[in-house]
Amino acid sequence: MTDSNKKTQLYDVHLDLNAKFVDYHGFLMPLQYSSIISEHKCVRNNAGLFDISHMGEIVIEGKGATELVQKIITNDVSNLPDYKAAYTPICDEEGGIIDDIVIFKYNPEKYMLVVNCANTKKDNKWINIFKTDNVNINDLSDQISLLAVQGPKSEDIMRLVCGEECTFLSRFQFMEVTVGEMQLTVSRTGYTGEDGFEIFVGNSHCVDLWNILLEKGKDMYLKPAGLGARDTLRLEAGYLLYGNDIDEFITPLEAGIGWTVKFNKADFIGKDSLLRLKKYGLKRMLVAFKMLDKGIPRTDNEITHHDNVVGKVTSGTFSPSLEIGIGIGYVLKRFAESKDQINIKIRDTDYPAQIVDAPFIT
Amino acid sequence: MDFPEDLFYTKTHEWAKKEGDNKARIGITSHAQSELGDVVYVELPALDRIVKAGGACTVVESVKAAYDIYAPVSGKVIETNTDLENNPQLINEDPYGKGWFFIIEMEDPQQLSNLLSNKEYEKLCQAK
Repeated sequence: MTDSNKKTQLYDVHLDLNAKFVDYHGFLMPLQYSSIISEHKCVRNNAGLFDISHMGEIVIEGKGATELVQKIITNDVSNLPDYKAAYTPICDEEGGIIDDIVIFKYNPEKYMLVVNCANTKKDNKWINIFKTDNVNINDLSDQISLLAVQGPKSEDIMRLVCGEECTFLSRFQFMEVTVGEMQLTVSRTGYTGEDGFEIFVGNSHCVDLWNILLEKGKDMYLKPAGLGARDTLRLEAGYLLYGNDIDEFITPLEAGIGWTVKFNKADFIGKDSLLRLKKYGLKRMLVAFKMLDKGIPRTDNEITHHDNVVGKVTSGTFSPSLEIGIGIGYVLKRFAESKDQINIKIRDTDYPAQIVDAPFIT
Repeated sequence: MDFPEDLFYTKTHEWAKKEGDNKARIGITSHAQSELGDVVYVELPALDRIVKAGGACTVVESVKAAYDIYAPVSGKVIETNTDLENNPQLINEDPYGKGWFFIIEMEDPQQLSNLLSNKEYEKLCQAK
Protein backbone atom coordinates (compact mmCIF):
# COMPACT_ATOMS: atom_id res chain seq x y z
CA MET A 1 0.00 0.00 0.00
CA THR A 2 1.38 3.36 -0.94
CA ASP A 3 0.43 6.95 -0.23
CA SER A 4 -0.72 7.29 -3.81
CA ASN A 5 -3.68 5.03 -3.06
CA LYS A 6 -7.03 6.68 -3.53
CA LYS A 7 -9.31 6.76 -0.52
CA THR A 8 -13.08 7.01 -0.46
CA GLN A 9 -14.90 9.58 1.68
CA LEU A 10 -15.42 6.83 4.24
CA TYR A 11 -11.75 5.94 4.79
CA ASP A 12 -11.62 7.37 8.34
CA VAL A 13 -14.96 5.75 9.17
CA HIS A 14 -13.58 2.37 8.07
CA LEU A 15 -10.48 2.99 10.18
CA ASP A 16 -12.66 3.68 13.23
CA LEU A 17 -14.51 0.43 12.53
CA ASN A 18 -11.15 -1.42 12.65
CA ALA A 19 -11.39 -2.49 9.02
CA LYS A 20 -8.60 -4.46 7.41
CA PHE A 21 -7.74 -2.70 4.16
CA VAL A 22 -6.82 -3.98 0.72
CA ASP A 23 -5.34 -2.17 -2.26
CA TYR A 24 -8.02 -2.71 -4.89
CA HIS A 25 -6.81 -1.34 -8.22
CA GLY A 26 -5.32 1.70 -6.52
CA PHE A 27 -8.14 2.23 -4.04
CA LEU A 28 -7.60 1.60 -0.35
CA MET A 29 -10.81 -0.32 0.39
CA PRO A 30 -12.13 -2.19 3.43
CA LEU A 31 -11.54 -5.94 2.98
CA GLN A 32 -13.36 -6.91 6.16
CA TYR A 33 -14.50 -5.38 9.45
CA SER A 34 -15.04 -8.49 11.58
CA SER A 35 -14.76 -11.62 9.43
CA ILE A 36 -15.60 -12.40 5.81
CA ILE A 37 -17.80 -15.34 6.79
CA SER A 38 -19.84 -13.40 9.37
CA GLU A 39 -20.28 -10.44 7.02
CA HIS A 40 -21.29 -12.81 4.21
CA LYS A 41 -23.90 -14.49 6.41
CA CYS A 42 -25.13 -11.13 7.65
CA VAL A 43 -25.93 -10.17 4.03
CA ARG A 44 -27.61 -13.52 3.30
CA ASN A 45 -29.68 -13.47 6.52
CA ASN A 46 -30.25 -9.78 7.29
CA ALA A 47 -28.46 -6.95 5.52
CA GLY A 48 -24.99 -5.55 4.87
CA LEU A 49 -23.77 -2.05 4.07
CA PHE A 50 -20.98 -1.71 1.51
CA ASP A 51 -18.85 1.26 0.53
CA ILE A 52 -18.39 0.76 -3.20
CA SER A 53 -17.42 4.34 -4.00
CA HIS A 54 -14.48 3.03 -6.02
CA MET A 55 -16.92 2.25 -8.85
CA GLY A 56 -16.76 4.75 -11.71
CA GLU A 57 -19.64 6.84 -13.06
CA ILE A 58 -19.59 8.19 -16.60
CA VAL A 59 -22.52 10.30 -17.75
CA ILE A 60 -23.46 10.59 -21.43
CA GLU A 61 -25.89 13.40 -22.25
CA GLY A 62 -27.29 15.07 -25.32
CA LYS A 63 -29.40 14.54 -28.42
CA GLY A 64 -27.08 11.80 -29.67
CA ALA A 65 -26.82 9.95 -26.34
CA THR A 66 -28.94 6.93 -27.28
CA GLU A 67 -27.19 6.55 -30.63
CA LEU A 68 -23.75 6.59 -29.00
CA VAL A 69 -24.74 4.23 -26.22
CA GLN A 70 -26.32 1.77 -28.66
CA LYS A 71 -23.08 1.75 -30.64
CA ILE A 72 -20.75 1.03 -27.71
CA ILE A 73 -22.79 -1.53 -25.75
CA THR A 74 -23.87 -4.99 -26.90
CA ASN A 75 -27.21 -4.91 -25.06
CA ASP A 76 -30.17 -2.94 -26.42
CA VAL A 77 -31.51 0.00 -24.41
CA SER A 78 -33.71 1.47 -27.14
CA ASN A 79 -36.85 -0.02 -25.61
CA LEU A 80 -35.65 0.20 -22.01
CA PRO A 81 -38.07 2.41 -20.03
CA ASP A 82 -36.78 5.65 -18.50
CA TYR A 83 -35.39 5.16 -14.99
CA LYS A 84 -34.43 1.59 -15.65
CA ALA A 85 -30.91 0.11 -15.69
CA ALA A 86 -29.41 -2.81 -17.61
CA TYR A 87 -26.31 -4.97 -17.39
CA THR A 88 -24.16 -4.96 -20.51
CA PRO A 89 -20.65 -5.55 -21.80
CA ILE A 90 -18.76 -2.95 -23.81
CA CYS A 91 -16.82 -4.80 -26.50
CA ASP A 92 -13.99 -3.98 -28.86
CA GLU A 93 -14.12 -4.70 -32.62
CA GLU A 94 -13.05 -8.32 -32.01
CA GLY A 95 -15.78 -8.87 -29.45
CA GLY A 96 -13.34 -8.79 -26.51
CA ILE A 97 -14.84 -7.37 -23.34
CA ILE A 98 -13.50 -3.88 -22.58
CA ASP A 99 -15.70 -3.68 -19.49
CA ASP A 100 -18.94 -5.00 -18.05
CA ILE A 101 -21.14 -2.22 -16.76
CA VAL A 102 -24.59 -1.30 -15.53
CA ILE A 103 -26.13 1.40 -17.69
CA PHE A 104 -28.77 3.68 -16.14
CA LYS A 105 -31.24 5.24 -18.57
CA TYR A 106 -32.72 8.49 -17.21
CA ASN A 107 -34.24 9.31 -20.60
CA PRO A 108 -33.15 8.89 -24.22
CA GLU A 109 -30.84 11.89 -23.80
CA LYS A 110 -29.19 10.98 -20.52
CA TYR A 111 -27.42 7.80 -19.42
CA MET A 112 -25.10 6.99 -16.53
CA LEU A 113 -22.59 4.16 -16.97
CA VAL A 114 -21.45 2.52 -13.74
CA VAL A 115 -18.09 0.99 -14.57
CA ASN A 116 -15.37 -1.05 -12.87
CA CYS A 117 -12.89 1.20 -11.07
CA ALA A 118 -9.89 -0.31 -12.84
CA ASN A 119 -11.50 0.51 -16.19
CA THR A 120 -12.86 4.02 -15.66
CA LYS A 121 -10.09 5.82 -17.58
CA LYS A 122 -9.95 3.17 -20.30
CA ASP A 123 -13.73 3.25 -20.81
CA ASN A 124 -13.82 7.03 -20.91
CA LYS A 125 -11.09 7.10 -23.55
CA TRP A 126 -12.78 4.37 -25.58
CA ILE A 127 -16.20 6.01 -25.54
CA ASN A 128 -14.69 9.34 -26.54
CA ILE A 129 -13.38 7.79 -29.76
CA PHE A 130 -16.99 7.47 -30.91
CA LYS A 131 -18.21 10.77 -29.46
CA THR A 132 -20.33 12.91 -31.76
CA ASP A 133 -20.86 16.69 -31.52
CA ASN A 134 -24.34 16.28 -30.07
CA VAL A 135 -23.26 14.54 -26.84
CA ASN A 136 -21.29 15.39 -23.71
CA ILE A 137 -19.34 12.74 -21.87
CA ASN A 138 -18.42 13.40 -18.25
CA ASP A 139 -16.48 11.19 -15.86
CA LEU A 140 -18.06 12.02 -12.48
CA SER A 141 -16.31 9.22 -10.57
CA ASP A 142 -14.42 11.61 -8.30
CA GLN A 143 -17.59 13.45 -7.27
CA ILE A 144 -20.00 10.60 -6.66
CA SER A 145 -19.89 8.09 -3.80
CA LEU A 146 -21.79 4.82 -3.91
CA LEU A 147 -23.19 2.75 -1.06
CA ALA A 148 -24.93 -0.62 -1.32
CA VAL A 149 -27.51 -1.99 1.10
CA GLN A 150 -27.89 -5.69 0.35
CA GLY A 151 -29.83 -8.51 1.93
CA PRO A 152 -33.39 -9.61 2.73
CA LYS A 153 -33.84 -6.76 5.25
CA SER A 154 -32.69 -4.06 2.84
CA GLU A 155 -36.21 -3.08 1.81
CA ASP A 156 -37.22 -2.39 5.42
CA ILE A 157 -34.09 -0.33 5.96
CA MET A 158 -34.63 1.70 2.79
CA ARG A 159 -38.24 2.39 3.80
CA LEU A 160 -36.97 3.97 7.00
CA VAL A 161 -34.14 5.96 5.43
CA CYS A 162 -35.33 6.92 1.96
CA GLY A 163 -39.11 6.57 2.21
CA GLU A 164 -41.83 4.17 1.13
CA GLU A 165 -41.45 5.05 -2.56
CA CYS A 166 -38.09 3.29 -2.80
CA THR A 167 -39.67 0.01 -1.86
CA PHE A 168 -41.87 0.17 -4.98
CA LEU A 169 -38.80 -0.02 -7.23
CA SER A 170 -38.60 -3.25 -9.22
CA ARG A 171 -35.30 -5.00 -9.92
CA PHE A 172 -33.04 -2.68 -11.98
CA GLN A 173 -35.40 0.28 -11.62
CA PHE A 174 -34.09 3.50 -10.09
CA MET A 175 -35.32 6.89 -8.88
CA GLU A 176 -34.10 10.22 -7.61
CA VAL A 177 -35.04 11.04 -4.06
CA THR A 178 -34.28 13.88 -1.63
CA VAL A 179 -33.61 12.99 2.01
CA GLY A 180 -33.01 16.08 4.12
CA GLU A 181 -30.32 17.96 2.23
CA MET A 182 -29.17 14.88 0.34
CA GLN A 183 -29.97 14.38 -3.36
CA LEU A 184 -29.82 10.64 -3.90
CA THR A 185 -30.20 8.27 -6.81
CA VAL A 186 -31.52 4.96 -5.51
CA SER A 187 -31.54 1.80 -7.64
CA ARG A 188 -32.66 -1.72 -6.93
CA THR A 189 -29.44 -3.33 -8.04
CA GLY A 190 -26.54 -5.19 -6.50
CA TYR A 191 -23.77 -7.74 -6.78
CA THR A 192 -24.67 -10.20 -4.03
CA GLY A 193 -27.55 -12.31 -5.33
CA GLU A 194 -29.82 -10.85 -2.64
CA ASP A 195 -32.52 -8.21 -2.85
CA GLY A 196 -30.79 -4.87 -2.42
CA PHE A 197 -30.28 -1.25 -3.27
CA GLU A 198 -27.42 0.92 -4.44
CA ILE A 199 -27.41 4.59 -3.49
CA PHE A 200 -25.48 7.26 -5.40
CA VAL A 201 -24.67 10.27 -3.25
CA GLY A 202 -22.53 13.37 -3.69
CA ASN A 203 -19.20 13.02 -1.88
CA SER A 204 -20.03 15.68 0.71
CA HIS A 205 -23.02 13.71 2.06
CA CYS A 206 -21.55 10.24 1.86
CA VAL A 207 -20.47 9.92 5.50
CA ASP A 208 -23.81 11.28 6.71
CA LEU A 209 -25.71 8.76 4.60
CA TRP A 210 -23.53 5.88 5.85
CA ASN A 211 -24.16 6.87 9.47
CA ILE A 212 -27.91 7.30 8.99
CA LEU A 213 -28.17 3.89 7.30
CA LEU A 214 -26.22 2.14 10.07
CA GLU A 215 -28.20 3.91 12.79
CA LYS A 216 -31.63 3.27 11.29
CA GLY A 217 -30.67 -0.21 10.15
CA LYS A 218 -29.49 -1.25 13.60
CA ASP A 219 -32.74 -2.97 14.55
CA MET A 220 -32.60 -4.93 11.28
CA TYR A 221 -29.05 -6.11 12.13
CA LEU A 222 -27.49 -4.06 9.33
CA LYS A 223 -23.69 -4.35 9.57
CA PRO A 224 -20.87 -2.99 7.44
CA ALA A 225 -19.49 -5.54 4.97
CA GLY A 226 -16.21 -5.40 3.06
CA LEU A 227 -14.88 -6.41 -0.34
CA GLY A 228 -14.03 -9.90 0.98
CA ALA A 229 -17.70 -10.71 1.56
CA ARG A 230 -18.64 -8.89 -1.65
CA ASP A 231 -16.44 -11.35 -3.55
CA THR A 232 -17.77 -14.54 -1.90
CA LEU A 233 -21.35 -13.27 -2.30
CA ARG A 234 -20.97 -12.45 -5.99
CA LEU A 235 -19.32 -15.78 -6.73
CA GLU A 236 -22.11 -17.74 -5.01
CA ALA A 237 -24.51 -15.69 -7.14
CA GLY A 238 -22.54 -16.61 -10.28
CA TYR A 239 -21.64 -13.01 -11.17
CA LEU A 240 -18.48 -12.35 -13.13
CA LEU A 241 -15.59 -10.21 -11.93
CA TYR A 242 -13.79 -8.14 -14.53
CA GLY A 243 -10.06 -8.83 -14.53
CA ASN A 244 -10.62 -12.36 -13.18
CA ASP A 245 -13.39 -13.96 -15.21
CA ILE A 246 -13.58 -11.62 -18.16
CA ASP A 247 -11.25 -9.27 -19.97
CA GLU A 248 -10.37 -8.16 -23.48
CA PHE A 249 -9.27 -11.69 -24.43
CA ILE A 250 -12.75 -13.09 -23.77
CA THR A 251 -16.07 -12.51 -25.52
CA PRO A 252 -19.52 -12.34 -23.88
CA LEU A 253 -20.49 -15.52 -25.73
CA GLU A 254 -17.73 -17.54 -24.07
CA ALA A 255 -18.42 -15.91 -20.70
CA GLY A 256 -22.00 -17.18 -20.61
CA ILE A 257 -23.51 -13.72 -20.94
CA GLY A 258 -24.61 -14.12 -24.54
CA TRP A 259 -28.06 -12.89 -23.44
CA THR A 260 -26.56 -9.38 -23.20
CA VAL A 261 -25.60 -9.40 -26.89
CA LYS A 262 -28.54 -8.28 -29.02
CA PHE A 263 -27.75 -9.20 -32.62
CA ASN A 264 -31.15 -7.90 -33.74
CA LYS A 265 -30.32 -4.29 -33.05
CA ALA A 266 -28.53 -2.06 -35.56
CA ASP A 267 -24.76 -2.02 -35.79
CA PHE A 268 -22.71 -2.06 -32.61
CA ILE A 269 -19.01 -2.45 -31.98
CA GLY A 270 -17.97 -6.07 -32.06
CA LYS A 271 -21.13 -7.28 -33.82
CA ASP A 272 -19.44 -8.80 -36.87
CA SER A 273 -16.85 -10.68 -34.83
CA LEU A 274 -19.41 -11.98 -32.35
CA LEU A 275 -21.74 -13.07 -35.17
CA ARG A 276 -18.91 -15.00 -36.79
CA LEU A 277 -18.03 -16.62 -33.45
CA LYS A 278 -21.65 -17.56 -32.91
CA LYS A 279 -21.90 -19.06 -36.38
CA TYR A 280 -18.67 -21.07 -36.31
CA GLY A 281 -18.85 -22.08 -32.67
CA LEU A 282 -16.93 -21.42 -29.50
CA LYS A 283 -13.73 -23.11 -28.43
CA ARG A 284 -14.18 -22.61 -24.69
CA MET A 285 -17.01 -21.84 -22.34
CA LEU A 286 -17.39 -20.62 -18.81
CA VAL A 287 -18.60 -23.23 -16.34
CA ALA A 288 -19.42 -23.17 -12.66
CA PHE A 289 -18.23 -26.05 -10.50
CA LYS A 290 -18.56 -27.28 -6.98
CA MET A 291 -15.88 -29.30 -5.19
CA LEU A 292 -17.00 -32.80 -4.24
CA ASP A 293 -14.69 -32.97 -1.25
CA LYS A 294 -12.09 -30.80 0.46
CA GLY A 295 -9.86 -28.40 -1.41
CA ILE A 296 -10.48 -24.78 -2.29
CA PRO A 297 -10.10 -23.76 -5.92
CA ARG A 298 -8.19 -20.56 -6.65
CA THR A 299 -7.59 -18.36 -9.68
CA ASP A 300 -5.24 -20.01 -12.22
CA ASN A 301 -5.64 -23.58 -10.90
CA GLU A 302 -5.72 -26.00 -13.83
CA ILE A 303 -8.93 -27.88 -14.63
CA THR A 304 -8.16 -31.45 -15.67
CA HIS A 305 -10.00 -34.48 -17.03
CA HIS A 306 -8.25 -37.87 -17.03
CA ASP A 307 -4.86 -36.16 -16.63
CA ASN A 308 -5.46 -33.79 -19.53
CA VAL A 309 -5.58 -30.06 -18.88
CA VAL A 310 -8.94 -28.91 -20.24
CA GLY A 311 -9.27 -25.48 -18.68
CA LYS A 312 -8.39 -22.97 -16.01
CA VAL A 313 -10.07 -21.55 -12.91
CA THR A 314 -10.73 -17.80 -13.07
CA SER A 315 -12.42 -17.37 -9.66
CA GLY A 316 -12.57 -19.76 -6.73
CA THR A 317 -13.30 -19.55 -3.05
CA PHE A 318 -14.72 -21.27 -0.02
CA SER A 319 -18.48 -20.78 -0.14
CA PRO A 320 -19.65 -19.64 3.30
CA SER A 321 -23.24 -20.64 2.46
CA LEU A 322 -22.47 -24.14 1.11
CA GLU A 323 -19.36 -24.67 3.26
CA ILE A 324 -17.44 -26.15 0.33
CA GLY A 325 -15.12 -24.91 -2.40
CA ILE A 326 -16.79 -23.37 -5.45
CA GLY A 327 -15.47 -21.73 -8.58
CA ILE A 328 -15.88 -20.71 -12.17
CA GLY A 329 -13.51 -21.09 -15.07
CA TYR A 330 -13.16 -21.78 -18.76
CA VAL A 331 -13.05 -25.28 -20.20
CA LEU A 332 -12.99 -26.68 -23.72
CA LYS A 333 -16.54 -26.54 -25.02
CA ARG A 334 -17.10 -30.30 -25.19
CA PHE A 335 -16.39 -30.61 -21.46
CA ALA A 336 -18.71 -27.74 -20.64
CA GLU A 337 -21.51 -29.54 -22.43
CA SER A 338 -20.80 -33.04 -21.16
CA LYS A 339 -21.09 -32.02 -17.51
CA ASP A 340 -18.68 -34.81 -16.66
CA GLN A 341 -16.82 -34.85 -13.43
CA ILE A 342 -13.67 -32.73 -13.65
CA ASN A 343 -10.68 -32.24 -11.39
CA ILE A 344 -9.15 -29.08 -10.04
CA LYS A 345 -5.40 -29.22 -9.64
CA ILE A 346 -4.59 -27.66 -6.28
CA ARG A 347 -0.92 -27.76 -5.20
CA ASP A 348 -0.19 -30.59 -7.65
CA THR A 349 -3.06 -32.77 -6.45
CA ASP A 350 -6.27 -33.42 -8.38
CA TYR A 351 -9.43 -32.73 -6.38
CA PRO A 352 -12.76 -33.90 -7.88
CA ALA A 353 -15.38 -31.31 -8.80
CA GLN A 354 -18.76 -31.35 -10.51
CA ILE A 355 -19.87 -28.90 -13.17
CA VAL A 356 -23.09 -27.27 -11.96
CA ASP A 357 -25.48 -24.54 -13.06
CA ALA A 358 -24.84 -21.09 -11.61
CA PRO A 359 -25.97 -19.49 -9.36
CA PHE A 360 -24.73 -21.74 -6.59
CA ILE A 361 -27.42 -20.48 -4.25
CA THR A 362 -31.05 -19.69 -4.93
CA MET B 1 -2.87 -9.39 21.16
CA ASP B 2 -1.53 -12.28 23.17
CA PHE B 3 2.16 -13.41 23.29
CA PRO B 4 2.58 -16.23 25.86
CA GLU B 5 5.95 -16.20 27.60
CA ASP B 6 6.59 -19.96 27.50
CA LEU B 7 6.62 -20.14 23.69
CA PHE B 8 9.30 -19.64 21.04
CA TYR B 9 8.35 -17.65 17.96
CA THR B 10 9.43 -17.39 14.32
CA LYS B 11 9.54 -14.36 12.04
CA THR B 12 7.03 -16.22 9.87
CA HIS B 13 4.49 -16.23 12.77
CA GLU B 14 4.63 -19.82 13.99
CA TRP B 15 5.07 -20.73 17.66
CA ALA B 16 6.86 -23.72 19.21
CA LYS B 17 6.37 -25.05 22.72
CA LYS B 18 8.96 -27.37 24.20
CA GLU B 19 7.44 -30.55 25.63
CA GLY B 20 9.62 -33.11 27.39
CA ASP B 21 13.27 -33.29 26.35
CA ASN B 22 13.03 -33.30 22.60
CA LYS B 23 9.49 -32.60 21.48
CA ALA B 24 7.95 -29.37 20.28
CA ARG B 25 4.30 -28.56 19.75
CA ILE B 26 3.76 -26.20 16.78
CA GLY B 27 1.03 -23.73 15.85
CA ILE B 28 0.53 -20.23 14.48
CA THR B 29 0.35 -17.08 16.55
CA SER B 30 -2.71 -15.08 17.46
CA HIS B 31 -1.35 -12.27 15.30
CA ALA B 32 -1.09 -14.67 12.33
CA GLN B 33 -4.64 -16.03 12.67
CA SER B 34 -5.97 -12.49 12.91
CA GLU B 35 -4.13 -11.49 9.73
CA LEU B 36 -5.38 -14.58 7.86
CA GLY B 37 -9.02 -14.14 8.81
CA ASP B 38 -11.43 -17.09 8.91
CA VAL B 39 -9.46 -20.32 8.46
CA VAL B 40 -11.54 -22.77 6.45
CA TYR B 41 -9.11 -25.57 5.58
CA VAL B 42 -5.81 -26.98 6.84
CA GLU B 43 -3.52 -29.45 5.09
CA LEU B 44 -1.35 -30.99 7.80
CA PRO B 45 1.91 -32.89 7.15
CA ALA B 46 1.82 -36.68 7.08
CA LEU B 47 2.92 -38.54 10.20
CA ASP B 48 6.62 -39.47 10.23
CA ARG B 49 7.42 -36.78 7.71
CA ILE B 50 10.86 -35.28 8.22
CA VAL B 51 10.63 -31.49 8.24
CA LYS B 52 13.43 -28.94 8.08
CA ALA B 53 13.54 -25.72 10.08
CA GLY B 54 12.23 -22.99 7.79
CA GLY B 55 10.71 -25.48 5.34
CA ALA B 56 7.06 -25.25 4.28
CA CYS B 57 5.13 -28.19 5.71
CA THR B 58 1.50 -27.18 6.20
CA VAL B 59 -1.01 -25.19 4.17
CA VAL B 60 -3.66 -23.05 5.81
CA GLU B 61 -6.49 -21.67 3.71
CA SER B 62 -8.55 -18.67 4.65
CA VAL B 63 -11.58 -17.57 2.62
CA LYS B 64 -9.30 -15.39 0.54
CA ALA B 65 -6.12 -17.38 -0.06
CA ALA B 66 -3.78 -20.25 0.83
CA TYR B 67 -0.71 -19.72 3.03
CA ASP B 68 2.33 -21.89 3.75
CA ILE B 69 3.26 -22.63 7.33
CA TYR B 70 6.94 -23.28 8.07
CA ALA B 71 8.49 -25.69 10.55
CA PRO B 72 10.22 -23.69 13.32
CA VAL B 73 12.67 -26.56 14.01
CA SER B 74 13.90 -29.68 12.20
CA GLY B 75 12.70 -33.15 13.06
CA LYS B 76 10.03 -35.78 12.56
CA VAL B 77 6.28 -35.18 12.73
CA ILE B 78 4.99 -37.62 15.37
CA GLU B 79 1.48 -36.33 15.98
CA THR B 80 -0.97 -34.05 14.13
CA ASN B 81 -4.09 -32.28 15.36
CA THR B 82 -6.81 -34.19 13.52
CA ASP B 83 -9.50 -32.01 15.14
CA LEU B 84 -8.50 -29.30 12.67
CA GLU B 85 -9.77 -31.33 9.72
CA ASN B 86 -13.39 -30.75 10.66
CA ASN B 87 -12.92 -27.70 12.86
CA PRO B 88 -10.33 -25.46 11.21
CA GLN B 89 -11.87 -22.46 12.99
CA LEU B 90 -10.13 -23.70 16.18
CA ILE B 91 -7.06 -21.91 14.78
CA ASN B 92 -8.93 -18.59 14.99
CA GLU B 93 -10.62 -19.36 18.27
CA ASP B 94 -7.71 -20.80 20.25
CA PRO B 95 -4.42 -20.44 18.36
CA TYR B 96 -2.20 -21.36 21.34
CA GLY B 97 -4.45 -24.16 22.61
CA LYS B 98 -6.92 -26.29 20.64
CA GLY B 99 -5.64 -24.77 17.38
CA TRP B 100 -2.20 -26.45 17.55
CA PHE B 101 -0.94 -28.08 14.31
CA PHE B 102 1.51 -30.90 15.01
CA ILE B 103 4.25 -32.19 17.31
CA ILE B 104 7.83 -32.55 16.11
CA GLU B 105 10.41 -34.91 17.58
CA MET B 106 13.32 -32.50 17.36
CA GLU B 107 16.58 -33.41 15.71
CA ASP B 108 18.36 -30.85 17.90
CA PRO B 109 16.44 -29.14 20.74
CA GLN B 110 19.15 -26.44 20.70
CA GLN B 111 17.48 -25.07 17.54
CA LEU B 112 14.82 -23.55 19.78
CA SER B 113 17.37 -20.99 20.95
CA ASN B 114 17.53 -19.64 17.37
CA LEU B 115 13.89 -18.58 17.66
CA LEU B 116 12.42 -15.34 19.02
CA SER B 117 11.26 -14.73 22.58
CA ASN B 118 7.75 -13.41 23.19
CA LYS B 119 9.16 -9.88 23.69
CA GLU B 120 11.14 -10.01 20.44
CA TYR B 121 8.16 -11.36 18.54
CA GLU B 122 5.82 -8.74 19.97
CA LYS B 123 8.22 -6.05 18.78
CA LEU B 124 8.24 -7.58 15.31
CA CYS B 125 4.44 -7.50 15.15
CA GLN B 126 4.30 -3.90 16.29
CA ALA B 127 6.88 -2.83 13.71
CA LYS B 128 4.53 -3.91 10.92
